Amino acid sequence: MDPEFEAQIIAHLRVVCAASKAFDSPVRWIAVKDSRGNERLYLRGALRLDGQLGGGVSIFISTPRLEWESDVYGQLEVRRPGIRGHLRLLPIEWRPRRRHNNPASAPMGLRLLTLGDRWHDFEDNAPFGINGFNQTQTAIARELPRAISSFSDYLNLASEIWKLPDLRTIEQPPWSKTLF
Amino acid sequence: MNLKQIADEVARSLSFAEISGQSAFITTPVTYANGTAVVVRLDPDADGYFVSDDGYGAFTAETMGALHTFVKVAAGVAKRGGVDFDQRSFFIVRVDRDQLPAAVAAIANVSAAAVERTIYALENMKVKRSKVLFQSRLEEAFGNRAKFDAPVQGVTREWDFAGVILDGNGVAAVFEFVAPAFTAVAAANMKIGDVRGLTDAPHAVAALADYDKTEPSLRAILSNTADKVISVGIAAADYRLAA
Repeated sequence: MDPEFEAQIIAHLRVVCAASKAFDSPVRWIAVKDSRGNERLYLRGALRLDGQLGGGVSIFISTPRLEWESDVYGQLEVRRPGIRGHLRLLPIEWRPRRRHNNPASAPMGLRLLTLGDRWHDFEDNAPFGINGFNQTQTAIARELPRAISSFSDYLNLASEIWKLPDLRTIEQPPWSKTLF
Repeated sequence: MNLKQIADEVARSLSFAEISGQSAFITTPVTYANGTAVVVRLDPDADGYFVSDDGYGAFTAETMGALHTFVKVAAGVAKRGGVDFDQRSFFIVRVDRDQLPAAVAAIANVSAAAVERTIYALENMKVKRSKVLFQSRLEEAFGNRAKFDAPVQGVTREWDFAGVILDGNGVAAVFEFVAPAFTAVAAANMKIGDVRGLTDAPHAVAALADYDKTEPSLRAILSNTADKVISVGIAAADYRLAA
């Protein structure tokens, strides 16, 4: 990637991190079923930055239907001209089924950590360029800044990290408890 | 703690199982490109076990905005890996108990490989977009003096160049579009070298599809032969200066 273009993208991501955000329109959970009947719940919506729609930012939260208060994945997604797909910003995972291993190139204290609950701080990853944000290489994750024990705790934390107060208003995912 | 105990501790931490409802989830040592561990799901079926990646390879691609590309590459990856794919999950059906370790390994490797292939496919798409950008820059800079994929006679033979700029005296400049691969650089170097050997050689410019992904040593080799080595993304005015 052209270094100047990459620097522009990183600068835009930094602006997105800092901006106050709001939903552009109401969001709701939708379910997608696979061929075996397993369902995954999704919540998606475009976001305004400092009151203005633009900048290619949206929210993405997903969790399996048959979980209960666990395996919640959320990220900001940023689309830009010249970037295929979208960039992942500030992902936050709570009680994930899948662990994350930090790379050996991460700074001391984060190097080769194995993490369950985790999030990706922008400033930890920005020095390594765009590849952590487009997931073509392993990004650097951290433990959550505080322990959380409920979905509303997750929303409160995510609303702080993403600067998205509207997040506190969304309803709990329509999970179905697995019957034994 | 002795070395054997430490090694056993590491081995146990790399792979372990959890039960959720009627399913088992096995964490494997395999990871996706983004560092997330591959977890394989086991479901008892009427005729053995159903082993799958639980659709997580596809989910990872979805978080990249690349689900469409993933679905296109996944069938080929599944076939090479000897497993099935149903637009969302990699899976193997009718697995006997003693076949489970091999099945889990196969699914884990295929799921991670499919995400890698998706990344590779996205990067190749970037090269195609770079070529489109390159041509549009040449058109903007030189108008109808710019010809594309046109032949130019060198010292030993004729070569097709990605961009040829004409003036009243013939070929004023050649631009070669160079992908970030050893073979592409070698071919460009050969063509430019042969044309630059002419008595009235045109100006020669190597335009890199991805400046950063082209190894510095390969950029230096091009620099030895070409008059200028540029990134395709520079402004049209800079293309005129380069020629």
